[in-house]
Amino acid sequence: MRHEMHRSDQPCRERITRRRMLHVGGSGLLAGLSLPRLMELEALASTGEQAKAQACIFLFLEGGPSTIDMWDMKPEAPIEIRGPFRPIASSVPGTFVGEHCPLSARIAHKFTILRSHSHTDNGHSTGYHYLMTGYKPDFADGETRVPNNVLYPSIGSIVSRELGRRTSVPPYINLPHPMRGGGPGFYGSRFAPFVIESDPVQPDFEVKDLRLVEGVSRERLDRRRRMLDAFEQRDTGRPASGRAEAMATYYEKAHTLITSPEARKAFDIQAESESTRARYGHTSLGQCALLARRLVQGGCRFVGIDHSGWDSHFTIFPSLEKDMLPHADRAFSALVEDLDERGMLDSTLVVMMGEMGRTPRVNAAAGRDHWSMAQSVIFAGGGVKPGQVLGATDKQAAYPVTDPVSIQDILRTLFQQLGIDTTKTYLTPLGRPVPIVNGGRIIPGLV
Amino acid sequence: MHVPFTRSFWFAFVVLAWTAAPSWAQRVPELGYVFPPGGKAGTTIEVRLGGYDWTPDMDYFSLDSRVQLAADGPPGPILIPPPPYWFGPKGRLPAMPLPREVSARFVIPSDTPPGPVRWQAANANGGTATGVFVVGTGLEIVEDEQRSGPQEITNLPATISGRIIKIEDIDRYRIVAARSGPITCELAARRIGSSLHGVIEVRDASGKLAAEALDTEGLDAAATFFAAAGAGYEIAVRDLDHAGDRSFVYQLSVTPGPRVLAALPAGGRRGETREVEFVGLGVASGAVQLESVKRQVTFPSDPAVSSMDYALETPFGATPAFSLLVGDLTEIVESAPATTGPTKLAPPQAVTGRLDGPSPVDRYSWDAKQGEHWTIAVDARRIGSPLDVALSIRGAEGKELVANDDLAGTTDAGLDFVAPADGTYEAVVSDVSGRNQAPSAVYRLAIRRAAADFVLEVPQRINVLVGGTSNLTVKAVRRGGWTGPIKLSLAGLPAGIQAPAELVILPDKSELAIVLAAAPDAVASAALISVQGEAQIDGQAVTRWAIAAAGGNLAPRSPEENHVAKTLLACTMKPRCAGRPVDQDTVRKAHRGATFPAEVLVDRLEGFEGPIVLGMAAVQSYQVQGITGPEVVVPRGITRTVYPCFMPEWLETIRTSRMGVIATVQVPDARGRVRHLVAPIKGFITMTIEGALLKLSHAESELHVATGSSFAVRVKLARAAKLHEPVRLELRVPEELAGLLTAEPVEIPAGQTEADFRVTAAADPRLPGWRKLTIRGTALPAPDLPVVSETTVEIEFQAAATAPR
Repeated sequence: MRHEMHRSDQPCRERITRRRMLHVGGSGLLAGLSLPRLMELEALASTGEQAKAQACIFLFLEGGPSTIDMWDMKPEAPIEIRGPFRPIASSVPGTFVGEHCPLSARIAHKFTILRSHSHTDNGHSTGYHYLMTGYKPDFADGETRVPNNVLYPSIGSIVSRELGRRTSVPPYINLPHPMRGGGPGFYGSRFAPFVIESDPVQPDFEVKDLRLVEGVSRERLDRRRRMLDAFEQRDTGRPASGRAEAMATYYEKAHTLITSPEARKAFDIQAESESTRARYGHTSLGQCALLARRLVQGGCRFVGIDHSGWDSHFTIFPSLEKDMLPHADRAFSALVEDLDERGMLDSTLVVMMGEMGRTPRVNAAAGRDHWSMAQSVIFAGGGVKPGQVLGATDKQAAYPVTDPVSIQDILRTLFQQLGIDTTKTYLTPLGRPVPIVNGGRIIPGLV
Repeated sequence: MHVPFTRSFWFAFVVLAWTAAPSWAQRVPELGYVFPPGGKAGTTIEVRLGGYDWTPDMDYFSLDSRVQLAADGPPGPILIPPPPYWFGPKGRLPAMPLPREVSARFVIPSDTPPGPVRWQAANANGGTATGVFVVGTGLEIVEDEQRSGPQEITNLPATISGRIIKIEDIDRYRIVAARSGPITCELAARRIGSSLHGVIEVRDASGKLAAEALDTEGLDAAATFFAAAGAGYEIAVRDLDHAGDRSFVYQLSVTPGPRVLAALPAGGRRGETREVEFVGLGVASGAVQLESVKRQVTFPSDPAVSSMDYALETPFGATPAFSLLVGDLTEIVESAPATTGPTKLAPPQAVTGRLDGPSPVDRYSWDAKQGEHWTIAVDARRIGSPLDVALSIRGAEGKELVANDDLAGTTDAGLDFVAPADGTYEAVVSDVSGRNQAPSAVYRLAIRRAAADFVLEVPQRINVLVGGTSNLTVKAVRRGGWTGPIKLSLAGLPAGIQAPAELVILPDKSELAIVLAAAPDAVASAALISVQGEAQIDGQAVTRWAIAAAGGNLAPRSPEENHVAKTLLACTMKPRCAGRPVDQDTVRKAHRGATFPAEVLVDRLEGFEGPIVLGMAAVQSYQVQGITGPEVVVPRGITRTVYPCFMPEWLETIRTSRMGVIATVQVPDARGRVRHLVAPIKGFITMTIEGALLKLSHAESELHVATGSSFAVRVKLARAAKLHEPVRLELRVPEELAGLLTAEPVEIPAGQTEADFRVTAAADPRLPGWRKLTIRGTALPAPDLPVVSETTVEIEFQAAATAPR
C-alpha cells in the first residue's frame, strides 16, 4: 500500500479498501472465526524494511513545555514574546538554543530539532491521548482516568504488540508512574505497560515485583505456577476472556519477571556508579532516563517517561530556570551521550516532547498558556539524521511557516524507525478497523 | 426543579464567601461546625467550635437571646486531617477547609424550646455565616471518639451527637431492642450544616442487613427496621463517598417506634380538633411496611404558631415527631379524582392531595373577581413529601396566565396572582420528581386572598471598615396590592457606627440602601443588629422585623427555616500587609518527605512595621494529604522570607500539590484591644513531587515482645546522594500508648545505613495485644527544613508471664 503524504491531522481513510475488508470479514466468517480471532488478523501489507532502531525512549514533558524558551528562541521578538531568556550557541554552527539548556547545546550535533510540530488539541488529557494514540479522544479535557485511552492503543502498546519481547524485560514500561494516555486500549492487558509506581530517584528504589516473597523459593514458585496452569487448562477448549484473560496475563508477566535475573538486573539502578547517576541528575527525570537506558539495555522496546510540572500559566520563568530546564537539559543530554558512548544511540530512538507547546505571548500572570499550534520536538538516535533543525515557525513562534508536522507524522516516523509495518490494521472487538497509525507521513528530512 | 444541596455547593459557598471579600483583601473568617452539635435544654453543653481562618480575638454570638455562648479562650492551632488520604483522581478533589477549634459552652435554659439555635463569630476582618446548634429535650449522648468498638447505647429513645472525623471513618453504635417492633433511625447532618451525606446501615447480630438508607440527595437519611425483643443491632453511620473530617458532624436519633411519612391533611386550623390520617412505616401493624392510621389531633390556637411537632402514639411506641402545619385556613383532603373537570374550591382553603392518577396533574378551580390579589402556594418539601411540585394558573379558556416551579430557596412552588377579570380560574398542580406514585407523595395547595402587608429582607452579615461606609440594603416586598411607604428603624448599632436618621422606603421604591458609616475612631467590634419596618395599612400601624437568610441548614424544608431577624455587623480594620510567593503559582520541584523552602514576599501597608505571621490558610487547593506549614514570624523590617512547606513522603509524583498561606498582624483598635488582621498571600506555592531523599524501613515485619522488657528494632536508612546529614531517630506512638512505650532518640551519622533502635515496653496491663509504633527519622539539611521518613512496626505485646522465652 502506498504511503500517503497528506495533511495527517486527517484520518487515513484509504488504509483498508472495501475489497480487503470483505476479504478479512469473509475469511473470518467462512472459517468460523470469532471476533477475538479476527482481532489477531494482521499484516495487510509489509514494508519489509530493516529496523533502524531496536527501542525507543520517549521523554514526555507533561503539561506542555515552553519550547520557545528552549529550542525555538525568538530573540528579535518583543519582550512579551521572547521572554527573559537569551539564546546561546550550540555545537551546530548557526543553531541556537535557550541559555538554560547548555548541556544539550554542547551535543546539538547529536540530535535534531523539529520546530514545526503542530496540532489543534489544546487540552492536557485530550492532547495526551491524541499524542499517545494518534487519535482524537471522545472525551472532554479534564478526564482523570488513568489510562484515558480506553479504545485506541498507545504508542508503547503498539510497539509491544508489533515487536514483542526481546528478553524477559517487559517490552513496554512506564516510569515513574502510569502515563495517562499510555494504556493498551482495545489491544488488552497483554500489551499494557509495566508500571513500577516508584520513583527511581528515591534512595530505596526497587521494583518489589522482582523480589520473591520471603519464604517462597524459586522451586515453590514454579510448583505454584504449574498448579495454576493445570487449573486454567481444566476447562479446555474455551480461551480465557475478559478479566480472567487479564489476570492470566498479569500472572504470566509477574512470573516471568520474578524468575528473571535479566529483569532484576535491568531495574537495579543502584548498580550504577554515583558519577553516572549524578551525570543524569538526581532528579526524577534524570534517574528515570538512566533507568530507561538500563531497561533498553536489558531488552525493553519502549520506555515512556512521564515528567510532570510543565504547565506553567503563572510566573513561568522561575520554574523553568530553577527546575524544569536544568532537569530536562541534564537528563536528556546525559541520556544521549551515554547511549552514544555505549554504542546504543544508533539503535535507540530518543524523543522528547509534550502534549502541546505554550503561548508565545507571556500572559498577565507572567506565564504562558496552552499552545498546540507550534511545539519543537527533539529526536536523537535510532536512525535520525543528527545536527539538524527541521521546519520553522513565524517571528513569534506561533505557527509553522513550513509544512506542519503532525502527531501522525511523528508516530508514523517513530514506528518506521522501529521497523513496524505502519500499514497494519486491527479490528476492535466490535469489528471496527483501527490502523496502527491514523494517517501521517515520514517526516521529511528527519531520517 | 429539584436542586439538592451538594458538597460542591458547600465548596462554591465557601469560595464565594471568600472571593466576596472587599477589595482590600481581608481574609474574612468563616464558620465551620460545633461538636457536639446539640444538647438538652436546661443544661450547659461543653463544645468545640470549629472555624476557618479564625484568630485569637474572635467574638461569638448566639442569635437566640435565651441561649448563651461563651468561648474559654483563643482558638488552637490549625488542624491538618490525619490519614487516611485519598489518592488518584479523588486526590484532586478540593480540600475541605482546615479548621481551628476553640472550647466553648452553650448555656441552655430549661424553657428553651427544642429546635435550632443559630450562632456566629466575628473578628476585625469580618463576620462569619451562621451555624446551627440543636436544642433537644430527650436523652442526649455524645459519641466516644476514642472507643475501639461499637458504642453501647443502653437507653432509647436517644439522640447521639457524632461525627465522621476522617476519611473512611465509620461510627458504630450497638443497641438492644427492649421489645419487638419497629425502630426508627433518623440522621440530621445536612440540616445542621454538615457536609456529611449520611448512610445508615443496621445489621443484626449475625451481620445480616436489617435496614439501609443513603442520603443521595443531601436531604438526610432515615431508616426503620423491625427489631426482635432482646436482640442486638449495630447501627453504622458513614459518608456516602467515605469522606469525612472534623466538620462532618451529625445527630442520630434512635427511636423505638414506627415512622410517619405523610399526614392528610398536612395541617389544621388553629384551635380545631380533627381527624388526621397518618401514613408511615409500621404505624398500624408494627411491621415495616407502608400503612396508615387515623387519629384525632388538636391544633394549638396560638396565632404565633405556624407548625407543631406531633409524635404519633402507637402500640409499638411513639414515632419521632412529625411536623404538621398550623394556620387559619380550612383544611380538606382531596377527594377521589374527578372524572372530568377540576375540583372546585372555596377559598380561603387548603387541600392536601396525591398525584396518584395516570397523569400526575391535579386541577382545582375557584372564582375570583377582577383585580383581586390572591396568594397561591403548593407545598411538598415543606410537609416532608418527596414531590417536586410546580404550579400553573389558567384562565377561563385554559390559557396559562402565570406559573412557578420553585420559589427561592425551595423546590416548592407559589405565586401571587391578580385576577384579570371576573371568572373561574384553575390551579394546576404537577410534579417533576417522578415520585408521584409513592403513598407518601402528598402535596398541599393553599389558596387565599392576599392581605395587604409587607415583608422586609436584609443581608445576614455586613462588614463596615473603620473610617468607611457600607450599604445595608433593605428590600421590601409589598403584598395584596398595598403600595404605601415603610418607615425603617435600626436597633443594636454598636458605638461608632451611624445611620441616617430618616429611613423610609418610598411608595415607588422596593428597597433602600442604608449607609452605615464607621467613625475613624470607631472600635472594631461586632454586634447583632435588627431592622424594623413600620407602615400604615388600612389605618392600622403594622410593624415587621426584616428577615435575613441565614446559613447552617443545608436541607431546609422551607426557606423560613433559615430565616433570622438579626444581622451580624462587623466593624473591620484595613489589612496591614499583603504578599505573594516569589514563584507564585508556578511549578517547583519538591521531594517527598522534604521541606520545600518557598520564598514569600510581603508588602507592609498603612505604615505597618511590626512582625507578620505567615501560616497555612484554611482554604487549600487539592486534598491536603498531610502537607503542612508552620507559623513563621517575619520580623520587623523584613519583606522577604522563606515559608517551609513540608511534603510528606507518601505524596504522588503525578499530582501538582499546592500550599495556600495567610499573613496575620496584630494592631490595637481605637479602644486598645489588640486585633489580628488577616490577609491572604496571593496565589499558591505550587509544587510537583519527586522521590524522597530519605527512606526508613525496618528489618522484620512483625515482632513479639514481652511487656516490661526492652527490645530493638533494626532500622534501615536509605539516603539520596545529596542528603549528607545525620538522621535522628525518634519513637512516635499513638495517643493511647503514650507512656507505655518509650525510647531515647538516636542519631545515625552520615554513611551509616542500619541501626538498632531500642524501645522499652512498660509492664502495663493496657499494653498486651497487637500494636503499631512508628519510628521517625529526621535529617536537617538546613535549619527548619527537615527531611522526614517513617517506618511503622507492628508488634505483638504479650504479658510477661505468657511471652515466649
